[in-house]
Amino acid sequence: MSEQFAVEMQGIVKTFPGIVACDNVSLEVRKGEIHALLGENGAGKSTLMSILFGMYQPEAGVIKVNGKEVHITGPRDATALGIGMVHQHFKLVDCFSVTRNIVLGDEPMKRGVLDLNTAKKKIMEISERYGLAVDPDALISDITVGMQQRVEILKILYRESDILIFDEPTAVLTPQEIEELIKIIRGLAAEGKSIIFISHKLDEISKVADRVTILRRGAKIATLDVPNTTKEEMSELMVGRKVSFSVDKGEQVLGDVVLDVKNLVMKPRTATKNLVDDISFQVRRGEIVCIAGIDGNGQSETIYGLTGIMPVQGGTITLNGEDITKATVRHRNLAGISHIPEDRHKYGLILDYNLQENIILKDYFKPGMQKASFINFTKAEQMTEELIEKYDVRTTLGPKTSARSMSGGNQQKAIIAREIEQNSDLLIAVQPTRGLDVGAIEFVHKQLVAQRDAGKAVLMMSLELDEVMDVSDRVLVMFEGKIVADVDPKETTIQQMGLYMAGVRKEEQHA
Amino acid sequence: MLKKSRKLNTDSLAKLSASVLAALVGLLLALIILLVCDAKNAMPGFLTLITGGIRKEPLKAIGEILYQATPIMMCGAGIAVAFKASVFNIGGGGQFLIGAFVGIYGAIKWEFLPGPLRWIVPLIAAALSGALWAFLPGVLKAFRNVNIIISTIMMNYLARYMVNSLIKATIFFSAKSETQAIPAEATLPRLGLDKLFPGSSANIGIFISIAICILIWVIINKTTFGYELRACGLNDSACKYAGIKEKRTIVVSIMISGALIALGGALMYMAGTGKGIKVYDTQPAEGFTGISISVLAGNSPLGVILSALFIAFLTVGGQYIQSHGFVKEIVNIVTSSVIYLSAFTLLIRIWFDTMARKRQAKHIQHTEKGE
Repeated sequence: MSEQFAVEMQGIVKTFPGIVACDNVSLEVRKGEIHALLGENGAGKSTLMSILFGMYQPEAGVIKVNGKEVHITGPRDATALGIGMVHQHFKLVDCFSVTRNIVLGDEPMKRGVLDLNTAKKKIMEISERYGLAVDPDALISDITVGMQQRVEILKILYRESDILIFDEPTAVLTPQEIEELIKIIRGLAAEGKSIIFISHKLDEISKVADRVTILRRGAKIATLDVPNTTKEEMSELMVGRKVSFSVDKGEQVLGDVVLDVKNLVMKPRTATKNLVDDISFQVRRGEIVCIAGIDGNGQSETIYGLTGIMPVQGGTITLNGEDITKATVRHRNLAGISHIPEDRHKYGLILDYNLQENIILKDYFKPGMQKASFINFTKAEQMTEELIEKYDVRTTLGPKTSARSMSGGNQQKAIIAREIEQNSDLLIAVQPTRGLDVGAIEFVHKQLVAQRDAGKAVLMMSLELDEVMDVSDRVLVMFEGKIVADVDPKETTIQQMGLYMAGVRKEEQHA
Repeated sequence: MLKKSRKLNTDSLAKLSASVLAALVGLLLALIILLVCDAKNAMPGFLTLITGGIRKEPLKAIGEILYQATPIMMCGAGIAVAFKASVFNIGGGGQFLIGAFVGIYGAIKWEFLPGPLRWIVPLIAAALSGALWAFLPGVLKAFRNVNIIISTIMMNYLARYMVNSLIKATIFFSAKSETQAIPAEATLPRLGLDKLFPGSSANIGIFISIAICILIWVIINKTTFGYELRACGLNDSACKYAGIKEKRTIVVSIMISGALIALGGALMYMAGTGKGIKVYDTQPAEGFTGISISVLAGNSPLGVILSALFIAFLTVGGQYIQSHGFVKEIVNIVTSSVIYLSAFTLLIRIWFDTMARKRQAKHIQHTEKGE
C-alpha cells in the first residue's frame, strides 16, 4: 500500500488557448511537510495551485486529498476540504479590523447577530498557539504588510485548514519579515499542517522546505529532497539546459556612451520600499545590455523611469549628454529613445485602431505625416505597406487590419517595426519575445542584433535566461531593486546566473 | 479588396441595424403607452406620431422639425465628442443653460455691435462660455481623477441657480417670469426658410448645426487632434507611452463638448420665437436628449445629424397627437420613451457582439474537435 499523502495530484493537464499550462503534472505532498514548488514565470506553478484551489478545472488528472479522490469546483469546496491559500496579493478589507477580516465570509452568529467576541477569543487562541501575534482590533490600513500577511494566515487557520498554500509569500516582505515568516511556517508544519510553498527564490527554499517539486514550461521536472540537493542543481533544473539557439553576432565595436544612469531611485506612492534602489549603469553604442532577474525585482520600474512613463524619485538619466531625468515622454522619444514595451496590449498598441494608425503612433505629429494638423493617411498607408513588407508582418487586410485581430507575434513585429524605424540611438526592448513562438523569437533577436551591429545602443530586459545569455553582450542582474551583478554572459554559466537572480550577491562591479 | 469592403459593410451594417432596432423598440413602447391610455384612439395617434404631422401640415411640420432638430443636434454632437475620448459628459443641461443665457444676454445688451455681428458675436460668446463651464470638471477629472459624471451633474445645479439669479439681476421679464424678448435685429436670420416652410420657426441654426457636425467629423477623423482624442478614449496607457498629453486631451475634449452644447442653447433661444428661459428649478431636457441622440448615432458626428432629425420628427409628430384627444403629458411620455429607449442602441450592440463572439467560440471549438 502506498503512502497516504495530504495532497496528491496525478497527471494534471490544463490548456489555455495556445499554450499547455500544465502538461501531465503530478505533485505529492506528505502530511506535515513543507513542500516547495519551484519554477520560472509561466512554468505552471500558479495554474497548478489554482486547480487545487478550485479556480480552474483540469482537463485530465486526479486530485486526492488525504487519500480520497475529490472534485474541487470552487474555493468553497477547497475550504471545506481544509485547503487554504495565502495569496500573493492580499485580499483584505482595509477599513475593517483584523477580527472582522478574519471572520468575513464565515461570520459567527448568535441569535441572528454578529458575535465578534467569540470570534475574537478563537482568534487569540489560534494566534497564541502558532505564534502569530496580531492586535485583533487594529485596522488593516494601520498595520504593516508583514502583519497583514499574518492576518491572511489566521484567516485560513480560523477555517481550520490543514493544507496551506503560500503563493510567493515573500515577494512583498522585508528581509526581517521573511525571517519571521519562515519561523511561522516551520511552526505550522511542526503542528502537523501540510504546506505548499510557491517560490522561485532558491535561498528561501533551501531554508524552509523539506522537499521541492520543480516545474518547467508546464511539465514536472523532478521532486527532490531539499537537504540532499544544492542551489546549483535546483537552478539548473528550473532553467533547463541551454537549447543552443545561437545568435549570429558581428564583431563588437563599442562606441560612445548613449545612456548614462546614475543613482536611479524609483519608489511609487503605493510602494512600501524603493522598487529601484540607487542603481547606476551605462549603455554604449554597439552593445546589447540586458537587465536580467526574476520578475518583480525592479526591472520594470527601471524601464518606466527611463522611458518617462513613471516619474523618478532620485538620480539622473542622461541621453547622449542631455539630462532627460525630468523630460516628457515625447521629448525622450524625439531625443532618441525607442521603446518596445513589456505589455504590448496596454502600452504598445491601441487595439481598436487599425495597423496603420498604430504604425504612426509616434509619427502622426511630425511634419510630412501631417500638414496643417491634417494627417496624411495616404502616406501612413504607404509607410505601413512598406513596413509590412520589410518586417514580414502578416495581416488579413493590409494596413487597415484591426490591431486586435492580429496574432501576438505579428502585433509584436508591428511594434518592433515602428520602434526600429524611429532610428533612435537607444532601443529599449522589454521582454521582446514574451509569448512568441520560436520563429518569431528568432526574428526579434535578429532585429536586436542588427541594431547593435548598426552602432545603436540596445537595452533589453528579459526574464528568459536563455535569451539573456544568447543575445546580450553584458548582463546586469537585478535583485530587490539593486544591481547585484554586472557580468559578461560568455564568462558566466547559467547556474551562476541562476544564483545571482536568486539574490546570491556578486561583489559590486558597476561599469 | 473584395474581402475588405465586405468587412467594412458588415461592420457599419451592424451599427446601423442596432440603431434602427433601438428606435423600433422605443416606438413599440410608445404604442403600448397609447394603447393603455386610450385604446380606441391609439392606432390613429400612433400613425400621426410616426408620420410626424407631415400628413396634416407638411410644410410647417418640416420647418418645425428643422427648428427642433437644431439644439438637440448640437447637444448630440457635443456628447459624441466627449464620448470619443471616453468622457461621459452628463453636464449637458448646465452647459445648455449657460450658453442660452449668454446668447440671450448678448443679443439684448450688446447693441453697439453692427449688422450680422449682433447675432454672430452672442453665438460665439455662448460657445466660449460653455467651454469655460466644462473646463472645471475636465480639469478635476484629468488632474484629480474626480468622477466626471458626479462633477458634471453638480455643475448642472450650479448652472441652473446661477442662471436664475443672473436672469433676475439683468434681463428679467417679471410678467412671464422669464428672460426678456430678443430684439428683431439680433435674432437668427431665417434665410427665407420662413417663406419655404410657412408657420414654422426654421432658421439658419439648422445649417450651422449640420455644418458643425461635419466639421467635428473631419476633426475627429482627419486631424492630429482627433487622432489623439480617439487614442485617449481607446487606451490612455498607450497614449502615455506614445507621449500624447492625455490629460490635456481630456480637458480639451470636454471643453469642445461644452462649447457645442452651449451653442445649441443659444441657437434655440435666439431663434426669435418669443421663447425665453423660464426661471424654473428644473434642468433643460436637451442635455439628456443629447446623450440619447449620440448613443443612437453610435457616437458618430455624422450619425448625430440623422438621429437628431429623427428625434425632432417624433417630437413634432407628438405635438400633433393631441388632436386625437391625448393630453399633453401623455404626449411627453410617449416621445420621451422613444428618446430614452434610443439608449438601448448600446445594449443591442453589446448583445450583437456577444452573439458573434459566442458563434466564433463555438466555431473554434468545432474545428479543434475536428483536428
